[in-house]
Amino acid sequence: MTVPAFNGCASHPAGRPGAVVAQGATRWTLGHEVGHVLGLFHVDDNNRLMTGNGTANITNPPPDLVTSEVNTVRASNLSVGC
Amino acid sequence: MPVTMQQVRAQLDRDEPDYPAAARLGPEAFPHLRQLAQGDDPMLASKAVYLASLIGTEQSVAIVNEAAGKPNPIVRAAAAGALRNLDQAPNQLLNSLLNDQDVGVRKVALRSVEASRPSLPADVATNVRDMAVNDPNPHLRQLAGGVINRLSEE
Repeated sequence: MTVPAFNGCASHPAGRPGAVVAQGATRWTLGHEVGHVLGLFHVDDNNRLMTGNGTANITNPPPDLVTSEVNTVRASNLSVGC
Repeated sequence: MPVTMQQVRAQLDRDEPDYPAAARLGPEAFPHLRQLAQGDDPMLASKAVYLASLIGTEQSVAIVNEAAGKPNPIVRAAAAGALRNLDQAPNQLLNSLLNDQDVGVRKVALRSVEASRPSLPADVATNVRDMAVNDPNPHLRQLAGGVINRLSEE
């Protein structure tokens, strides 16, 4: 768990990227938090992974990343091509 | 204007709730927070308990106290975390969470006691001193010893 109680949290020390996910989080929380680590922000759209309304409320799963988000993730210096 | 369950859920359904904003719902959110704290979803219950502690009335203590008795350690750990917002929490509640069977609950309770109090009530100090010697977890023994060294006894 975290204090305060979060499903997950992507705050991390500078230069030490990481995130935590609570035991009771949704199946989408890990991806959501990794999205934050890779530079994504909340959106007000429950069909997208980065919804700020709670990944428990995701509609039409699996949730989407839009093209601009994919580009942001790919451009992150933490992303490695494969 | 009455606070609705929908308003409370809009705050607490989030993966990372904005607790200061949610606390502005005020005491009228308590009936919904109590319902969520007693519900089957441990994450929602945990968030409801923490938010109740931030709103800060006698009802906050009651909700945290009820959460401290729940069978799910996730909810008890949320109660332990909420202690840091309750400077008027009864010593019995502090001691109950410091003596919890779950090591995670004990750790969070210890950190909350340290974060929220300039000094330790005598019976809580006795409890923490005992943890420093007898807790089965070596990390917690060390943590408790540090708390005893840093906080004075009332």
